[in-house]
Amino acid sequence: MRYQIRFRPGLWAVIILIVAAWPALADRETHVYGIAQFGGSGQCGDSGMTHPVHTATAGAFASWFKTLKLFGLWDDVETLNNSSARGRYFTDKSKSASCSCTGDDSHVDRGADDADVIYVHTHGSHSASSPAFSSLSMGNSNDDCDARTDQNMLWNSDLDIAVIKACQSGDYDTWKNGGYRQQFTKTTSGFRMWNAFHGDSSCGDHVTDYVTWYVQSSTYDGVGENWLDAAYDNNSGDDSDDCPVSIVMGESHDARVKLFENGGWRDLKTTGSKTGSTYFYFRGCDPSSGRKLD
Amino acid sequence: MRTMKTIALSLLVLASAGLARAQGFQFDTSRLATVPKAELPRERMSLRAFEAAPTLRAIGAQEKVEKSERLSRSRVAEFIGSWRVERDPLEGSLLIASTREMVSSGGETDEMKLRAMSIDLLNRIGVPQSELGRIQVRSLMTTDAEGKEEPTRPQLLTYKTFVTREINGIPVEGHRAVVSHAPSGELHRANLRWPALASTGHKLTTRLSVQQITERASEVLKREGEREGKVLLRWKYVPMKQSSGEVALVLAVGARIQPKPGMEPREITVPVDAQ
Repeated sequence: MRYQIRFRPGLWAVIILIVAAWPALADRETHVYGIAQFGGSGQCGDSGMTHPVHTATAGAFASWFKTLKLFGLWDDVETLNNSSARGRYFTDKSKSASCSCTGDDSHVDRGADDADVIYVHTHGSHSASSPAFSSLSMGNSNDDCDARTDQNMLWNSDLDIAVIKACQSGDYDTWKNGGYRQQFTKTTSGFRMWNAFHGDSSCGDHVTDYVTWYVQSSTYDGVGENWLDAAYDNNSGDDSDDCPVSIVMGESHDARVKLFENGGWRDLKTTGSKTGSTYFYFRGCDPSSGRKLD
Repeated sequence: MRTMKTIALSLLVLASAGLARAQGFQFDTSRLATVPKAELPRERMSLRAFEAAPTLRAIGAQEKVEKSERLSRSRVAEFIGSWRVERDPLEGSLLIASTREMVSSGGETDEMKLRAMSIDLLNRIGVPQSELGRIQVRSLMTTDAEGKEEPTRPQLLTYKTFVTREINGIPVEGHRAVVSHAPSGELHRANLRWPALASTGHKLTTRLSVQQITERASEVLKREGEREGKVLLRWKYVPMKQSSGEVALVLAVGARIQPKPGMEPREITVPVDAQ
């Protein structure tokens, strides 16, 4: 007996649309932004800020995702170093007014909100209150040279997890005063994890080592926990510790802890509506440019 | 009067001991006082530690490997009962993770006990006592903010025991183990970056004087765009990876520059003609 499956023309159109949209929907994408060059023509900041290792650590982060891609476990990796890391790619369209650029954070293969996972290595600073924000130094002076969590960022498209190797990018007091909540995420956003630093964090070849260790260890789980394990450094309690932190947004403490401990590149666990956040840190960590955490 | 002068002079000499100035930099060389010896400890981490059997024995797993997944050319994940073990001999990485959800309530565990349990686990995996350096136990805390409410009182989530790898008392750059225990003391996770040591090819000492190292540090810092500031110099071993995954250690000096406001504190590696 032979059966013939017949599709109505409208159904064909739906199938074609689904097939066409599938790669965009399903792509697991990583962007890395290593901003090492400062003070030159078209660059931000001054030459004293130039640290070549910033692009090396970005390369280390990207390298593991390239390996996962090779093994069919990831889809795309983009590297946007130095002048390619522009303020516009960290600015939401709705926040263009406060930026000397057009917000373009969803730009395909460039914008930070076009990726599922981003890694940024640059310089940073913070303001604890009125307003509370962290700021990241960008690589191209034709756009904003500082991307601020309050004035530029709003993660409401594809971004799930951000890993930020920059001083003061996850300050406790900024978080306490609401600096990383509604400022840069919506309750409906997919964005849910900001791995960063409270206070200043050291820079050197050792960062490339621990970024490699972190990214390789977090394939299945520990996507927040491994960040703290890898990046923490106690420098004899002399007010210069490296204090990695993780800020997780979600509907409940349990959902947020689950992502911190059990989420990994292969399972970026959802945390529901972003109505609250959890700050993960080491008690007693004491950095420069930040309070001792109790 | 003469006694006063002598005391003042002595204090000046004491204060300047271990400090050296060179072209805008003020070097603290106190940690270079003893030159590392050119010997490896007899017991060393070997590639055998990255085989499946020792790891399973270390966590007391009786079950067989149920599922295995290859994540890269050299990294394999194996699922055994309520554990997942990731082994990578080429990277020198070993990750043991409980797949059970951790219970974060359940009292507290004494720090000495956590240290002892962590060292015991590392020894059973194959990390020799002679490679264990600084051991620190830290409490990983959480605090929550719902909506615009004030943050909640911090809660203990897990204990972390950090173990630095040291050879002859000198830290090996990038090598450490972190053992995680639930508040009840139950093992939750162990993450090691601790490659096997090669039997040959190490360069563990130097004939350069502190003065020569200081001059060299000054040159290297200038090349990196630094011009002035307080700099702490300390020994470190830089691992050089071999094709087998083993590493050979090369002595170097880490020059850590005191941070300037708003800048990352940098550590720059200074070669010391190790031999």
